[in-house]
Amino acid sequence: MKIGIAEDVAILRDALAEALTARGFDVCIAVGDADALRKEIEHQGVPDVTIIDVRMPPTNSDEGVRAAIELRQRHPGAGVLIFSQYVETSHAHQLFGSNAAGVGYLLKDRVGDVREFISAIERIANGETVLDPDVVSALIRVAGGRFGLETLTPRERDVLALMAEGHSNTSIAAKVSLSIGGIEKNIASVFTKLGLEQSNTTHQRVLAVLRYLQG
Amino acid sequence: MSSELIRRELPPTDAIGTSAPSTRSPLARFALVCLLISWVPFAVLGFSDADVNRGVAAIVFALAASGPSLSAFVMWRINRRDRIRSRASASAVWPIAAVALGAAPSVLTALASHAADPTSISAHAASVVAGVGGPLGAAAYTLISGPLSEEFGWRGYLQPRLRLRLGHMATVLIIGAGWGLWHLPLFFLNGTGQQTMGLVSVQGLLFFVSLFPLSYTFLFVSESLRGGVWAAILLHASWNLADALMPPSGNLGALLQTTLMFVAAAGVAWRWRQQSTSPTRGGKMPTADSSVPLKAQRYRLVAIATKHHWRGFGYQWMVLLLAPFGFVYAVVSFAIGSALALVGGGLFVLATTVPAARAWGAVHRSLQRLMLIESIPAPPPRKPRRVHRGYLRRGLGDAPGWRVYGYLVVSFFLSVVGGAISIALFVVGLGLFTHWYWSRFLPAQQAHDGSWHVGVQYAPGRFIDTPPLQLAAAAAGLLVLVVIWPAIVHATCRMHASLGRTCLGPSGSEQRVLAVEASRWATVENSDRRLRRLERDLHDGPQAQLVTVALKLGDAVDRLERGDDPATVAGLLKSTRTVAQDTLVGVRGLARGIHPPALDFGLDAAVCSLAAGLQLHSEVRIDLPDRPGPAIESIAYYSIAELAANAVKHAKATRLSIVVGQDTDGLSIRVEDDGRGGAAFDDSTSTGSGGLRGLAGRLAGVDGTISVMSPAGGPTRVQIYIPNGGRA
Repeated sequence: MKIGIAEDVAILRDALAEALTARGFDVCIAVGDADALRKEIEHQGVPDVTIIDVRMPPTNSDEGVRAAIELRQRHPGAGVLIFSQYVETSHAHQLFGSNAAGVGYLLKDRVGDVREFISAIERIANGETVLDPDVVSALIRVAGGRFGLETLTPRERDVLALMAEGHSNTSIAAKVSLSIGGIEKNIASVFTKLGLEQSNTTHQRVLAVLRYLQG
Repeated sequence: MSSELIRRELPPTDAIGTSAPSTRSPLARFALVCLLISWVPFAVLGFSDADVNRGVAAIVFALAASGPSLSAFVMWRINRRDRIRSRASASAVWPIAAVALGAAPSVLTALASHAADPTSISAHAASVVAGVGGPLGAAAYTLISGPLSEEFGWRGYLQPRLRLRLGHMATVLIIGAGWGLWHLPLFFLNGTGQQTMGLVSVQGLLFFVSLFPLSYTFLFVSESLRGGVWAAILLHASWNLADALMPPSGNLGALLQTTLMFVAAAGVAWRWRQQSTSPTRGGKMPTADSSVPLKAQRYRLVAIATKHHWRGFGYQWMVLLLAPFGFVYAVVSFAIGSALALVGGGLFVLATTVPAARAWGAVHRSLQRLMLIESIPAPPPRKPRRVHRGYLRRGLGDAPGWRVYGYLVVSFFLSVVGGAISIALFVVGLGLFTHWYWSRFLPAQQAHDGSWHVGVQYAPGRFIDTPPLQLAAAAAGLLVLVVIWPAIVHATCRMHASLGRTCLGPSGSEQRVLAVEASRWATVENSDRRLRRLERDLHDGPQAQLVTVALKLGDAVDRLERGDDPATVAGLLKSTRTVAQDTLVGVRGLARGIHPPALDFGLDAAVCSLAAGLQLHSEVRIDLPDRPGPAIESIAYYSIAELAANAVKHAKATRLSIVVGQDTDGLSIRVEDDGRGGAAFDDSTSTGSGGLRGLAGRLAGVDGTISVMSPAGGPTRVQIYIPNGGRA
């Protein structure tokens, strides 16, 4: 699998490349800013997943997000993993708004668990959506007052968050220690309470939840 | 009379200079004391009709004539902390110049008017010396009467204060006028030289006129040649001696002498300009570099051809037309207001008209900006209603409005008198210059001897009707048109500008408030900028490094679990340890940026350890007899750290010199490097020069000053001054 990395701190970029290469990934692009990323993509083609740091030179604000959006517009199928130091929900709408397939948003903290990280990359490559739990809870917090959320039971909230993170029913069941049947009941209840259209695939479900959370 | 004008005004925020000390009230007190000491005895002597050269009257007169110097001593005695003094430098230049400039006009005049009989000059000198009791007596007399009795006041006290506040030209004008005014009673006392001249006479008039060029020459020897008050005393003595020793040469001689004084002043002005444009000029004031004169307009000797002159003349016309209206506004509203105040309602009139006068101020400010290229900042806006309750208090307490009232009244007289003189000079100059042409159309006039003449009569029985006289008239006209008239226009406009700055802009305290507001903003913006920088440093440094450590450790754990080669995992862990250690160093550096621990042991220790860590050859000289307060130390440290970082990062310097000194008022820092220069107060934050701007902002917060000399190609020299501000 071809991986691109755009991260301005060199040691982190190298460490990422090293860890991924050791696990059989082909890190074909490793650059320090958005311009270089654009050029390399033109040159080498689009990687399956591109890991992009939010803050990069020259302005150190949101170059990474803008580069990711641009990349997705040019190459709709390309996987993008936004890699951020902080939880920021302001870009979520732009990122997941139109097409969230193959988009991920993870905090840098997650790299400590290499297996999780690798699996996130693989899920993105498969066209799934990956959201950091912290980002999801931030989204739920922001959406806080919206009608419907307060009617959820704590269990249903947990299920909602896990759905937003992109987990499947099986995975959710394992996380909250419930039977698949119990999970399905909870999910159905969440969808009814929030007035969401029932969706069959995990991916469609994530989109529905996200759309709801962002208003 | 040409002069370089240095104006002081609200300094820009990136270079806040120490503001000029407030000199107004001490000056008024000086004038009052001086008039009391001098004029009261003069009046007594005048009314008792005593001869000031005899008996008790002579002693009283001598004391009264010492009024200026005595009042200077009184003022120095009252305020011992007053540190504005004109100090003399050890040099042979100013004594020679003072003697030569003092004696030249009288001697040259005597030589010119007694060219036929030069021996009469020495004979007269000898008789004068014999009359006062020999050479010693003559020396004592000429030294005491005038030089010692007046100069400490005029040139010792008044001149440096006025110059600091108003610049050269205004100083000369004010001292010349004040000096003349002070002399006025002498015309009515028996036995004075002034009485011999007579007030309403050619010589009396020339006496007053001559004080202006003389004041300029005095200013030159004491300030430019750095002779201080002693040069003034020497010049005055030389002048008196020559004047006393040379035989009198009548009205024409007095005219020649006055002309020569103007020539001397002009020569001196030319020399001064040469000096001030040459690069060897040493800054007398520590803040001379940082307070940039906004538009130091220079007066040129032949100014008639300059735009500046014609704009000034146009300005005179404009204010001449405007002045009556403003005057009527101020006087009538004040009269109605104060008259009705007794009945009631009058105060309401004033409470309306005083703030409304700000509009007049705005008109005159824009006029000055347009025609005198004199930009006066607007006074602060009216206080909001919640600060000042009540219409009356708000209106009547509007100080800027009242200042405009003062401006309208004073500028009325200035406009009328200045305008009249200027227009008269223009007409006279033009008339004289073209007399050769238009005089032929005059009717013939008969002189006392019965002869007939066609031409202007310039003295009883004398007419301009011969070719040499026509030529002389044309030359005189040219002189008036080209030199005197522009000089008067220039001087009047400077007075208008000076009046405008005093009355139409923010007052001293308002200016200080504005400056404090500006510096507060600078402080806020600066601390914000520093926090942003700290956040970015944390983000790019320790945070990213710790993420890397986490990633590498996770990687290692995963590999161990997978059963990878332990040697590979060990290598991974080793590199993790390196990153962790780097993180520690980075965090330490950041902490030092927040507060360097070495600063606890004093500025010298902190700067030395800073210099030791630099990648260049540095030389540190710190001389701090008293340890400054922690705030001062901290700012001084960051200034040096910032400049040193710039020298390394941007200037690519190889040598750095840091000198820190101290005086009673504060800390002075000089940082020099041999790098490529080009440092400026840029606004960009991405490059390091933004740091220079931040530094200036930080310094502004404590009223510090920074001056940067960094020509492209280097070297860079930065001078910083941080005042104690009362905090030890």
